[in-house]
Amino acid sequence: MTEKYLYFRTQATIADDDGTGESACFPLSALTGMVPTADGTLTLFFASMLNNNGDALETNDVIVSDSVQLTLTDDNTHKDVIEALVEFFSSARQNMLIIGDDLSTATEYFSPLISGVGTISVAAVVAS
Amino acid sequence: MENQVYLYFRTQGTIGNDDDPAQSCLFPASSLAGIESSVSSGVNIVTLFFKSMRNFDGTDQAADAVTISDSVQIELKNSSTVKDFIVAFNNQLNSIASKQKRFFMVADDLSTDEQYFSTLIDGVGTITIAAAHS
Repeated sequence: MTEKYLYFRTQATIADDDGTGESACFPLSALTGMVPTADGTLTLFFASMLNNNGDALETNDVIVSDSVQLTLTDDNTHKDVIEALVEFFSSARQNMLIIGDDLSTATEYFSPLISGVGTISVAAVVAS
Repeated sequence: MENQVYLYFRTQGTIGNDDDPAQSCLFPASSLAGIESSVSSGVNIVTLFFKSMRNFDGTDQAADAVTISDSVQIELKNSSTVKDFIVAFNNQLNSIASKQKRFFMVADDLSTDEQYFSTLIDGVGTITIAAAHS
């Protein structure tokens, strides 16, 4: 089985693409679902990158999914974007799938249905 | 997963209100945890459970905190049985898995363009996406 990888960047300045929340790559197999979270926002969830199959042992420790928000070009077109993403997952011949890249000098989106990448949330590692 | 199928559901009838997780959702078929049946006001309902989208394989050590599955209710027509639905659902899932396009539009209540993969379905009931642990 050849895994595919999804790439996202919300940082527009190349020199600032240097920390969690600026860009991220997830294996497609880590995708746990998608839901609308605003008229113009579709949120993708992924199994936690830093706590995969982890355990929270300390009081109030939690393990939650990571997430990436995509900004829709037109409001309430979540289903269209979802269908286009699923089509892209299966039809793309390359293994590295650029879903959204907000880099100002080389903006790139998998489809004109999206116009940007919003918040990338990678849950912090649970402390031991 | 190379042959992953993705399941789509929408309970919202108005496009302008399809703007939060209780209105529509997509799950990978591999997250399906099980299907159970129930009856409400004489309507046969099947509930599909999925591994939590927001707490996948997650844990929470807060007092009384738990990780629970997400769920989607499918309301059936009077003449439909739950077993009929499960058989049709599995057949469609297997059919789509062998195709290039793996988007499984299970049910969409959009008033201007209702779509159900089977005539057994009358509509989508409650979509429940568990909140992220905090």
